[in-house]
Amino acid sequence: MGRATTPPAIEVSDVTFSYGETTIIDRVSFQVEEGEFLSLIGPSGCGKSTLLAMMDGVLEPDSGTVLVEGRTPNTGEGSRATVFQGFALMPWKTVLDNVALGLRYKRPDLSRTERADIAMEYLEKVGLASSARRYPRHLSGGMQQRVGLARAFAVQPRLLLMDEPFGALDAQNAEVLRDEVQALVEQEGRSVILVTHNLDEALQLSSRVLLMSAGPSTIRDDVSVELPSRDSPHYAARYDEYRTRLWSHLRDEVETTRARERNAV
Amino acid sequence: MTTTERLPPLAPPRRTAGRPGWWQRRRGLWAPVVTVAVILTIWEALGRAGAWDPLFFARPTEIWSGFLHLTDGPLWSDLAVSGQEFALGMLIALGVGVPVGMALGSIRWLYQSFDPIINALYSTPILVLTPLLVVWFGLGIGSKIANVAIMAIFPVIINMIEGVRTTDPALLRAARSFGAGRLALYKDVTFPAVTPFFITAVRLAIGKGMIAVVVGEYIAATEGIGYRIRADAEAFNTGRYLAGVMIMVVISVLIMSAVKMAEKRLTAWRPSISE
Repeated sequence: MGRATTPPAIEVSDVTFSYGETTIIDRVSFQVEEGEFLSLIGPSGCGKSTLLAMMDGVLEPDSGTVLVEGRTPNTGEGSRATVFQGFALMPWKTVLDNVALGLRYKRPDLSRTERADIAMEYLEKVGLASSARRYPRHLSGGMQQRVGLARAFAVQPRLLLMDEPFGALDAQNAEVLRDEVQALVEQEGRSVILVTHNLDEALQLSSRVLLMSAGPSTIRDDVSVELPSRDSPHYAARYDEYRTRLWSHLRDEVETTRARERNAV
Repeated sequence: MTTTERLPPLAPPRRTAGRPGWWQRRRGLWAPVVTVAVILTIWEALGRAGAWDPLFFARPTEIWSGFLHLTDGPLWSDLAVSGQEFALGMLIALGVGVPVGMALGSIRWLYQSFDPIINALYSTPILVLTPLLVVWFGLGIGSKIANVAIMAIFPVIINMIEGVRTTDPALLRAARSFGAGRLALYKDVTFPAVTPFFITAVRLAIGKGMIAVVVGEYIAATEGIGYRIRADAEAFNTGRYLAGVMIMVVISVLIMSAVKMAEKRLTAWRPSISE
């Protein structure tokens, strides 16, 4: 008897995308399995965020296909949520209403009170329950991004898309928030796509790193990250091994991008 | 061997003035009152001393008696007429200006087609059209309503366009990403984002509308506060004429205060200047 197979969380096949005359992404293909934490890393302008926007249904590829759980993603549909670099919190809504906003669109079956209860539960998880009635302007950058995380987790997505979520934060806040994200992802068990410039961030958080080349980008390297626990004596050596491998490629790509920028000037 | 020089003990801090007194704490209240009182006193004293011809300028007490005379006479019916013209004109300006501005701000080709025309009309002194409006709508309130609407509509349209066009695309993207439909995008993102622009539009429109009412009545009318001001000016009744002007000033201040209160309520989420 044949067994029903579940489609991968994401399937990107032969995707090409251009902005005007410039090809950004050139026939990129990869798959993300359910429960995988994948980081997309590459030099600036290589199309990482563009790929993420395609997975979110905001952009469509010029050619090729992007499938999320076996279907073409449409904006707002499906079980996914996005965390944005600039937080994207509605300044006119309180912290609680911001967290409940995603639920309002994704779970119209819930009453206002039920939405508020769920929002509060996730605010508690990110340690911001006491700020529920405040406006985003009263919060620091780190706190605002925790609201952004609560908003994304509150809709209980099967797929979490994160577009440089720590990019606008200072180093200390970014470090703390990374740990919180890791804990939340472990608790909730989601498939995650993280777009980042930061190699260490990618290595610490992900189970797999895809390194994209300078545009028109292709997949330059695909690394499954299997690190022992941080207490292990082998952790540092193994970490360095991954880092050296990825950095040697990334450095080439960054230099290629810089050379192109110099020539363009 | 090194010795450590012992520093003399610090003198106890000088006692600074304690909690500010009532006068200091309430300076924001009494200072303007005192300033106005001083100006009025000097004004009255100079007038009584014959510093100017009473035909050219009235003393505060003459303006006050002019005001009392107006309240005994046609003031209330004049204010009712002017208020009606102003309110209906503003209603048209906002009722048409807000949706038109939002449409122009949202639809690129509409914006590109109409923006130069709207800017040209905004910078044109539209009051020169008043005689034409009188021909079209007559001497009654119709021409004044049209005057207010035409004067007030352009700041409304321009501000709404600006509000829609400057709505943060990241917020629209976030709302769309979480599943907001077209209507929800307007309700949850665009409308709140344009609220500060709407308030500015209302504020500018009120100023323009007030001018339009008074000038409209000044040029061709048989009633209204602008008409009354003109009649008193032509009769060289300077006290009553200036009383009419003062009434307009007080009404403007009251309306602007109401708008300010509404702004505080509607945009509580925005940082105040003191933050």
